[in-house]
Amino acid sequence: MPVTRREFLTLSGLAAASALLTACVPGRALPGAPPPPAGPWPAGPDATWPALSRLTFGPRLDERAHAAAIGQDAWIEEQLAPESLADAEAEWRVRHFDTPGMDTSILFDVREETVRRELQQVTLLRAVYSRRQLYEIIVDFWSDHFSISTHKGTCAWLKTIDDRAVIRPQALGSFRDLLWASMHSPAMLVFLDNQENYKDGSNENYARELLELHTLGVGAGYTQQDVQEVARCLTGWTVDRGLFRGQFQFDAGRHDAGAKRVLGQAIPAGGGAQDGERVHALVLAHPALPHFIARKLVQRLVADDPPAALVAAAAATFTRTQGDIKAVLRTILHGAAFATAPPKIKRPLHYVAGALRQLAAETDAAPALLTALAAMGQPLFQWPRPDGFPDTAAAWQANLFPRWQFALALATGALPGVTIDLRALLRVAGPAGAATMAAVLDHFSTRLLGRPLPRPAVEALLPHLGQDTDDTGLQAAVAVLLAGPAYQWR
Amino acid sequence: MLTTRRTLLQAAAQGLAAAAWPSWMPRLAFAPRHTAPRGDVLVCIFQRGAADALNVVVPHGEAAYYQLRPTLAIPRPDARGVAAGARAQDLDGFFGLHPALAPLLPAWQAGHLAAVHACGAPDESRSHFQAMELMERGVAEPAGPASGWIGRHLGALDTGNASPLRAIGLGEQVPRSLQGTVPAAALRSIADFHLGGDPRAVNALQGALTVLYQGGDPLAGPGQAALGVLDTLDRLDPTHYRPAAGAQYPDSDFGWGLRQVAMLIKADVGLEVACLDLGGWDTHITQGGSAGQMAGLLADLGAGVAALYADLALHLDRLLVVTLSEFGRRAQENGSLGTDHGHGSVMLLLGGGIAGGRVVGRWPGLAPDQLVGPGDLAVTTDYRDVLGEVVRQRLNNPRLDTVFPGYTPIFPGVTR
Repeated sequence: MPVTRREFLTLSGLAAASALLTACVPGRALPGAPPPPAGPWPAGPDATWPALSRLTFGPRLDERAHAAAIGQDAWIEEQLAPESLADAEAEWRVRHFDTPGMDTSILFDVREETVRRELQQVTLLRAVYSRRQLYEIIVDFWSDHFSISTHKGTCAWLKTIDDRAVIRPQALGSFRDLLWASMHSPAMLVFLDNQENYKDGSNENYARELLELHTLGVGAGYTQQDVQEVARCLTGWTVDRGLFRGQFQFDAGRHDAGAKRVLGQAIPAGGGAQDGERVHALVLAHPALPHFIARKLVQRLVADDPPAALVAAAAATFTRTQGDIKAVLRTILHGAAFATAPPKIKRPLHYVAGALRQLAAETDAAPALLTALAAMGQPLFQWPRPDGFPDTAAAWQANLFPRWQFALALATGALPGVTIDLRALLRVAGPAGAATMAAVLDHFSTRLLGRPLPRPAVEALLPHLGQDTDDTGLQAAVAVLLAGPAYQWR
Repeated sequence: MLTTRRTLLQAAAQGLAAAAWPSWMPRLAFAPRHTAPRGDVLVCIFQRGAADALNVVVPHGEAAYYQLRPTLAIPRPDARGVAAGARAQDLDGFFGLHPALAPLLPAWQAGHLAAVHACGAPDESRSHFQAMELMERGVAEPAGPASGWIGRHLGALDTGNASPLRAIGLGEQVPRSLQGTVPAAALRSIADFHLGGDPRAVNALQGALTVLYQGGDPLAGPGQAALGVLDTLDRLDPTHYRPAAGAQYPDSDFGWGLRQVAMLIKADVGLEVACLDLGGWDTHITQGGSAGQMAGLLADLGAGVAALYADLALHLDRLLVVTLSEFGRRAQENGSLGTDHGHGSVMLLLGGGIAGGRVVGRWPGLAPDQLVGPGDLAVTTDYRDVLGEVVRQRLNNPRLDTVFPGYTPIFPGVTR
């Protein structure tokens, strides 16, 4: 049931009022929340399943039906215009949390643990409930690219600002703007020690990662000297600790005013804040940048071992459009290599959000879900290093056990603050849904893996699952599908 | 043949052992394995973030050290007006341990602890990520095998040991060094490794997973390893583990990790390698000297390894602890009471098979013309020289060309 604008405004007004009362109560219900869309039961195999499985956190039935109706390319274009997709449900849920939208002037009055937790919770809620799935996938990508741990200094508060002011507004915009915003992000400057970088005591931490992780990549031809010169250019780029706490500040008194030389270009003395802005322009003009960014995007969206031709095409688009992220994504997602892409392992956020989406779970992103993500190796916004959570199968495949534990807990209703109704889901497919264990497996396999299990697989599983389709039988079947190898891939 | 989603799904679901290995997975060369009995249990501790070697094993006999570090230097063992517990703990008249590592002195005096100073990798990138990755892969250049050096060691050596606990990483993720053909388990805690709930659902799940992870999917190996670990650990009881008298593990993630390593070694469940991470060494600001940020990390390291040493007093002949860090830090302190990325590092080695009580390696000095790059301790011993000797002499693996491809280690003489 779509929520009208009026209903939405009413709901959000109520939510804002009630949020003050309930924000700290974990596991609370969300009275009046719109029910998850049921969606029509698919008549046959979905041609768009591979794309949807990659570009959403786990395709729901309504999304599959819609993509099948308008076609994959049109669906991708729709997703590339997230502002055209009304997203009342996700926004309604997010509004129950105070700190993500809280004015900076009062944000610092909230306890660190609360701010850290709420950013994780709204991130998970958007992954689960937002219709703007590709947007959230790309936000996730940039959150890793410009990774900031909320466990350093004041980063718990500052990352909330970085998320809403740097990553989310620019995620599908221009890389030029995104990098500019990140270079001026208090969270980034604190996380990488640039507030300690001044004329008589340089600290090259941010300067190095700006070149190595954010723009050019190690081995791009810059030198240790370049790192030190970039650090000099960025002296005095710091964070206001007074009245405008949490905001960027250029402290001219701490800036090294001398002449510098970066990537072979002279930067004359006396440039002030423009020295750092010159660095921004120089890295944007560097020939290594398009390939570095394109390769990372292709690795995330297409294959652990990115096809060179697609990387080259995406890099060419990056160069031609001066870093238009949507244009680069079009090159990648409409390319032949995407259509035949090998499976990518689901990172824990993808795995957890997907299971919740595909089983139409009702949750307010309870802390138990954040704990499960941490056990799987992805405590959100807490990767300690600036290189972001790893992206490839090799990094994740040996840690299957916490996924099995999550699968069992979710399916058996043992996760506090998460509700699923397996029997109600079965009814969507008609009265025959729960007649036999084989039918149950077919049903949930169609939901979770896009199609029924092959017959031999059903035959092999039945001796373990038995024929009893009581609640425990349904739960065991779903746990097995979630924990099995096939569901670890997207 | 490109594996499509469909064939992958089918192969995984059917558990077809004969399914083709997908062509997009890295292919691994199958060299015949060397057969030898199990050697020491390797406990590999990675100090992530680049530990400041000069404040771990302190060159207190070097005047330049005190000039370069007006606020961060560890006072000489005979410094006046400084509490004894804040001075370097003398080892040989020239080097001393950071006072927070004092719990390791008994092992030093027993000849079971050695240090290799000015040790490290040839990599000059001063990049944590590149240096850590190359060190964990055991290679000098980004080209070459993507697997880890320990992973290749395990893959090249057949010890007749099929235990799912042959190699473990204590933490959320398996470290790069363990990646290879032999699945390694990531383990936070023995007690965590448990499936709880309705027995009918648990039994159905465990039985079904045994079928599903039989083959065909690249996750089959890791899945079987996890099932094997589950089975093994069900039969251990971590809640009632009692360390040997005198062994007190610190109440930290690191301490708890070592405690469980000791338990697995004593239970003789086939453990050959355990990797632990100890992070937080990237001390660009307020590093501290005898006390402070880095001293706290060293206290955790020292107390943890000393407890393991005491706990395994009866098993020292098969214990081998090695510490690694991706590089050292700048000799001169920076303007933030910290140190920036440097070059030469220090390795600590502890065990019954270590020729200890010595600081090994040529000391390059800290004078301006002796420092390298932007002012860093030089590397005079490649870390692969040390690991190569350990792999050959203590782990019974002669395949050093597989473990460290393109490099011929020169043994510095750290083993008995």
